Amino acid sequence: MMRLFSSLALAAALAASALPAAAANAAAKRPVVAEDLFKMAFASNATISHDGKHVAFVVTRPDLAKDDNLTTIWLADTDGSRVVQLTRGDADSEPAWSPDDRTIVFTAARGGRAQLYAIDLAGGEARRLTHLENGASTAVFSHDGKRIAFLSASVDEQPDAKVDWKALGIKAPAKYRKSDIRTLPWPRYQTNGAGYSYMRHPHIWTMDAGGSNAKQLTSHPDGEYGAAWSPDDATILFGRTPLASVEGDEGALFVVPSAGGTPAAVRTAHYGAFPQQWTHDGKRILFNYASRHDASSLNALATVAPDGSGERTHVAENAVLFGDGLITDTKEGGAGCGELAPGDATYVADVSLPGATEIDAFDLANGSKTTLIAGGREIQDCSLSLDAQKIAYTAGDATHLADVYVYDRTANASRQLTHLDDALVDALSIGAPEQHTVANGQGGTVAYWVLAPPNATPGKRYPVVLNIHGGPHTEFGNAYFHEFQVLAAKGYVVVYANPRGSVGYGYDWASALDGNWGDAMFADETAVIDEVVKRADVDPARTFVSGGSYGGYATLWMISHTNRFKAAFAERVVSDLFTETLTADFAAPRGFEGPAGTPRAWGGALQSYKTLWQQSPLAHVADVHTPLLLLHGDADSRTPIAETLQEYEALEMLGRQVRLVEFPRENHDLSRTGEPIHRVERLHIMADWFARFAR
Amino acid sequence: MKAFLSVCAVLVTTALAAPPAAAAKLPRPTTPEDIARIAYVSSAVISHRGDRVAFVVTRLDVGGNRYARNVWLVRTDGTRLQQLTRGDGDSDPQWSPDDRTIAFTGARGGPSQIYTIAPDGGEALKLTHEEKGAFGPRWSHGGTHILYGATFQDPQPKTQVDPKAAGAALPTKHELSDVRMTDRLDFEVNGEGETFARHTHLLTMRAGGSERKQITPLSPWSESAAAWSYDDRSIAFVSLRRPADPERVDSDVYVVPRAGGALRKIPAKHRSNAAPVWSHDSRALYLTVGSQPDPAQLSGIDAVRADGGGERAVVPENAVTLGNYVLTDQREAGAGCGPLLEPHDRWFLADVSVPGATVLQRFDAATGRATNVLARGDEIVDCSADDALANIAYTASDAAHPAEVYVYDAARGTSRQLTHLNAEYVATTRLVPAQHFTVRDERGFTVHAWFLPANVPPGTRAPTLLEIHGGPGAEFGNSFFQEMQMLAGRGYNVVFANPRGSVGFGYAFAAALTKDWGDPMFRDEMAVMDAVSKRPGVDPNRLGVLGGSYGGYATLWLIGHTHRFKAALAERVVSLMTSSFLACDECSSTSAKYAFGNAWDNQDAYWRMSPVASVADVTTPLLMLHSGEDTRTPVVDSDAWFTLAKSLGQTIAYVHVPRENHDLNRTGEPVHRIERLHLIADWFAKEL
Repeated sequence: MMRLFSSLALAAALAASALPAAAANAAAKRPVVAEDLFKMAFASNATISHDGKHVAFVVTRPDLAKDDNLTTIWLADTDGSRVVQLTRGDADSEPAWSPDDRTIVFTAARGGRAQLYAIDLAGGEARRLTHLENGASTAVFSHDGKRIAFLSASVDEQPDAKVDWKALGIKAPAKYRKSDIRTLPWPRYQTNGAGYSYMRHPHIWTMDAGGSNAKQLTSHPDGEYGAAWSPDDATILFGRTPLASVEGDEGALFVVPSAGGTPAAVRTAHYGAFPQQWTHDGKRILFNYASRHDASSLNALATVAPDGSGERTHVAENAVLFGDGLITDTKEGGAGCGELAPGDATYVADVSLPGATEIDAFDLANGSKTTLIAGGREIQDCSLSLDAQKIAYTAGDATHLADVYVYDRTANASRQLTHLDDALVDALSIGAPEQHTVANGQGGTVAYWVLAPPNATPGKRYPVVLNIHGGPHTEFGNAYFHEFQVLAAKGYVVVYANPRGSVGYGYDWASALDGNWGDAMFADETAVIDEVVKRADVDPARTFVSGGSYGGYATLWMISHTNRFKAAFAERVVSDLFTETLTADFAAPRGFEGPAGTPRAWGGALQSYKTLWQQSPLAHVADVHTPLLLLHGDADSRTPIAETLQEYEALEMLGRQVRLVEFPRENHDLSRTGEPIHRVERLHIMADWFARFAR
Repeated sequence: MKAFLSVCAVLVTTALAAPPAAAAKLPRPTTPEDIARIAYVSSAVISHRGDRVAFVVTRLDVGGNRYARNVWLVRTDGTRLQQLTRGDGDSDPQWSPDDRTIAFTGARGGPSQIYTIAPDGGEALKLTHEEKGAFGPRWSHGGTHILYGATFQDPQPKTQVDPKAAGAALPTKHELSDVRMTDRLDFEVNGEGETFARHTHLLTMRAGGSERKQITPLSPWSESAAAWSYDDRSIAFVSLRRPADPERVDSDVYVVPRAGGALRKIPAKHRSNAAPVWSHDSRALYLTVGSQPDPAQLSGIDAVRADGGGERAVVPENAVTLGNYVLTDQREAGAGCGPLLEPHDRWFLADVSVPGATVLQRFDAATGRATNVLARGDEIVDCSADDALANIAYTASDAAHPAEVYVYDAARGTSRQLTHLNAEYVATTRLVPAQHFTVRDERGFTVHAWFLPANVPPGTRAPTLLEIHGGPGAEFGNSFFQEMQMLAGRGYNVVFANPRGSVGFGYAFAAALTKDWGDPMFRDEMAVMDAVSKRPGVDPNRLGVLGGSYGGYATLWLIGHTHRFKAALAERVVSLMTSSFLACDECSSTSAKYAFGNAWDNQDAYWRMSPVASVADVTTPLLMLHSGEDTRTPVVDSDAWFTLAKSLGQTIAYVHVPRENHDLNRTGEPVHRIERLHLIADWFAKEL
């Protein structure tokens, strides 16, 4: 830990002090371009073997020829001796080790829907385990290694088309026999990226490890998730969330005999329970909960006996943020991690900090935490060996794409196992952002980063792009952000901050936007940009603002409250909080209202429409005088495209300078997981837009 | 008053005429599947000599889930009815000046092209090979040339990916970008998708198809409604050659020499100038004009010299309702007709919407004074005249009869029905005439309404459905509406009315919804239902309401303001004024700003006029239906209502229909149209 931390601190010190050195070095290196995306490999999902000798992980590569983000499973030995590519499919993911560490079962889409495959470490190609019409995923081995629990969806059948074919005197054509009209059962009938998801109900199945005897274990229409075998393999823990629920976060815990039977609810005192795992002694269930309907709330960690008795909170609500909250343009947070160490006294988890994530050990007796792996950078995920002595994880920073590491608890040190992008990173002039803070004038301190052009000429002033992150409950941090590097290489000073609403800075900071989505963010971002324009390398007359999702909202809010920016770029925006609240895939009809009328944030949409309107950029659209490019994927159901169209048409009617860009087939994640060609085109469109006004 | 009387007269006539044919077989109620039995007759185009009529017949091919549309012929003496073309995608027949050839638009696999066919034998000849399609053939008066429109698509830009920098070749199918960029206000049109990159330009060719010549240049602007001058030297057309101005409803008329060249804009007094018609001496143009971006405005007709001078009003604005605004589920809208100028330019014919009907009127070209030529009290869907204006071919329909082709002999003042393509359907099906009635509303306006009696034993009190039309700038009338007949056949009385906001009742009536979209309509529909509830055949405790588009808005408005309805169906609704007027394809032309002000300046009014403001008051079980590709009324309006209604614990069902736009019930896929009718019938059967 110390070693990693000190080396990172050294790197940061270099970045802060040694601009001339970087410039000198730049001659040998070339600037980052958008197309470098096609040369990158992104490591994730580090999954360590039980014996701690190997790490299976997923490598994602944006591929130009196939115009797809291809994923394969790789293997690294923890002694650092070997890194090999294990699978050769285009969409292989979710590696799971058999208890004897001889086999890895994974999810792969190899023509048709994803199925489970098994591959032996001793050699040979993968064999297919499942042949289910609606696919299979997310394998979990029983402790004795004899069985696998997994997910497979049931899919509602469409009814026959209501046409009296006899009356028409024709035989029902095969193509039209089934109706394709959709009867929608509840408001959350779609899921961004998955279309009309209401028809699919994921259920827990079990099968023998060899793939035989596949059997559906659960069948509730709400669907199930989070299967975990009890230590004696007799029982499976899982979670379920009522789909028709107005709030949608009323998750509950259940157990079911693994041989089949009726699921039993595990009553918890707290609302919104999410299953984690069994304690190693098999007596208790570890779970997270959030007791309020609160978008800013941080989950608690608790245990309860399967019969619902003895519930106990170990880490209080709103104390720490479990998981990786860092947002980049390659992913929306890492997978995160959390596992009980043997002995049931310690819980090891990924935790979000200001601008970074770290792995901590929590003492279940008193909730106190000890930092295991820190380094001021992003740790995306982790997994523990059976003895919890080794922890595999993937981590990266602003100038390094994520690689796989293993932490040895005895040595208290990490070893880097992979160097997937070293050759590329070495060839590129990647800028190192400087981290700063500024007082927001309202009693808070805002963290922000400045990424100057890596080839900056001393004395020259550069245009500035302020980027505002989405969420708002995510954070920017020490992780590689391709878009920022592309813009910096083109001669922009890129600035990004964690204004109020961001996570990693505690509950109060994250919840500061309740009831007022724009003003606090505006104050914080204004403090940042005011500070940045004082820099010698910045041209205050050429500032730009951009952002997506909540960042798109924020961009619209900024330009309707100040004319300081020369142009703006807003993606997948929210322009009208009323329509967004009611029509998004997470539609929240009661808005941000708590149970039993607890007022929170805005309250219900109907009761609070005036506030929602006042907090909507559309209410202030007439004040926009900044040239604006609006970009949206037409399959986005997180922020429906009507959000962009409303703002666009209003600005057109006002005669403002505005441009609309629509990406076909793309959903809310265009910038992160969209078709690679689209991702690169998006970067060019953004750079071209700023270039028009930066001259 | 006069129009009202003539409606009654015709209703009596048709009612008397129907029984003899029906007597042979006991008529059965019409079913959803019957939409495939109907021949949809339209576009009656009479020959120059007035002896034959070309027209279009559309039929539903349910098995193939498509439409088959062909050109037919009939002589004006009613003989020699024949199907002329077999392309199944043929429309817009146009007679050559010598009547020896018919040009038409044919979509026969791939984009549409111009064809010609001899009416006396032989197959059609394809004349054009336009990459993105050709349409709208118009013969020169000399008969040597054909003018037509063609679609041009802006080339897609190259994909902005540098293969060298990417270290790999760009796949061929990705060489052109599929990202769409625009800065136009009007960039999409319901049913046509994103139109900003598609433009229509004018071309001519020799009648045999040679000497293709583009006469308006490639540009971001489009040209339409092109017309030859009688001396064949010039072509007038409509175009807007600058970005749409949201403050105005804009269109201009231009003239271009037949061989192409400089486009000359006709200076005009009005913001909106459309449908140019040449005088026979080629010196003047008659234009359909409008001054305000006012949704209630009624167009006028101006005459102007071809050099742009001397513009004068012939028919003043806001005086008569030119065109056919009767709304049915048989088609998108009637093509209308006119102005058709008499050979000496002394008068012209045009169709006019009147209460519940369309009529053909003769307008004095000097004074604009109008007299009825043909007032049947039903819907005249379209019309055309021979060169002498001695014979007028038209298609017409009433509540119990799908449209057929007729010819009007001006000298005798009588009409002859030329086609009976739906005679078998009419004779074997229970189709009831609509019983017209009126009520007076609180402002003193006369509200016209109709009652289709339910197919129930006499003395039964039947459940009753109120249908509310879309627009609101349209009207219900005495025209065939299969959905209503189907519902009547299933045992519902069907009531349909023209509340304030409807067209055909004068400017003040239509303009009553300006600043107030819901209340005047609500009061009028309530007055109608009060009257209906007193009818002996009506069970006032089993009332339902349904409508689409503005009718969907009205349905939501009604159930949010009264509990008298026990079931409702709202299609393609407007539930939120702000999103409806900002996330739509016609944001500039709906003239929301004129009617209501800007959403961002007048949010209180926008909220007050939004049905969702009253959603919590709803107790009526509701079925909502919206098409996946509707850009006229965006699906967010249904989504928002559904989410709120569900959270309030209301009884609501919600249906999405894929691949359909705003016109599902008129021009949607045949299977979907039938399914939709069943859904409606099943919903009311369950809830009433």
